[in-house]
Amino acid sequence: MSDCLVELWKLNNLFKLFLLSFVAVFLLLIFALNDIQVSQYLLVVLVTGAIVYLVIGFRFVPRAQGRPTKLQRLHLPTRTHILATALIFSLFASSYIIARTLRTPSPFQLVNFQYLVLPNGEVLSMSPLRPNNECAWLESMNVTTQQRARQLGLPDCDYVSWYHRTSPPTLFLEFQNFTEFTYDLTNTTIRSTGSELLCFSLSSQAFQCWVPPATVSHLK
Amino acid sequence: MNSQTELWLRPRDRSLDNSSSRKSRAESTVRFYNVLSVVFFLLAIISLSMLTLYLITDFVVLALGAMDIGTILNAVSRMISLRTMPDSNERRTRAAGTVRFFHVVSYACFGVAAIVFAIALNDLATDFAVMGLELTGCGTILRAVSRDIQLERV
Repeated sequence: MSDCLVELWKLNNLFKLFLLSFVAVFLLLIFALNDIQVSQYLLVVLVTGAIVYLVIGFRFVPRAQGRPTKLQRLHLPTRTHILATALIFSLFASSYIIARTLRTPSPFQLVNFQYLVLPNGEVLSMSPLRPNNECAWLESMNVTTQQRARQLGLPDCDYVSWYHRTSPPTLFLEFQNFTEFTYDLTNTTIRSTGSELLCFSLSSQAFQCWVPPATVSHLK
Repeated sequence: MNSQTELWLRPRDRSLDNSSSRKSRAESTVRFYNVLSVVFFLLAIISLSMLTLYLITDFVVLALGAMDIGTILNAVSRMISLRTMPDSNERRTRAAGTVRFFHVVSYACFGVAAIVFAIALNDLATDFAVMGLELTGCGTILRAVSRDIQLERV
């Protein structure tokens, strides 16, 4: 019994080290190297590691245990054990569903930069917040682009984070070069379809969208 | 065994019975904690898979939380199983190895915590601060468990 426990304990700790290094490499790829594509291939590494962990765990542990004693054979999971496991799984499942639905962009549609079509089919008319409604994410830009943005007199997009909380329905359209356009939204009866783009709901009536080829990185 | 029979048992038999019952309860706890720690590690794998698919930082928070609970359960089960070892020499040797191993894992936790705290400070991102706190917590609890093992060995 003790031999098997030692091995399982060591295996768990080694696997923990593997998972920690996975997280570190993943964050390094995203933040230091800006490589979102390669980070997705890490799924293969993760699955391989998990399979190795499970194979070693399942193959090794029963063999070390040997023939179960009478006491072990009679040991059945109690109601508390089953309830605890079910509770753990349900908690994590609900967290996954919440994170997946609330933090992942949904398909919206953009019609000629005039209308925004929500996933439920509702169409909103777009009008620029002011004549020059462009701003720049200066912190995300490299030095050259930042200098150009400053020369153009673009304001920093930092106001976005508080603007949507106090303002009427708003749309923030982000482009690949880290510039963003702000539009006021009004309800319209027009029915239309356009090109798809990914958007987050910032609040009940404010949206942040990425105009292709701009790509969404939630980790940024 | 009913109470009447127990009354007739000699003190030595009674203490043997107690120790065997305590050992079986300890083994059952260790088994349960081991199963739970594997369950939590599996949940961590699922969370990290979701992370690679959807690139949402919340999944890192969930994964680290699951990993931490798994690690702590694993450490406590190891501590209990060390206590039940009858041979003091063997217990001492294994305890030394366990403490060394736990120290390595806790250093790894603190190392990754430093990275995520740096990201949190650089980007003012609360998600990363939460990750840092989770990792620091895990490292600290592991150090505490290993300290307990060290003290018991003396």
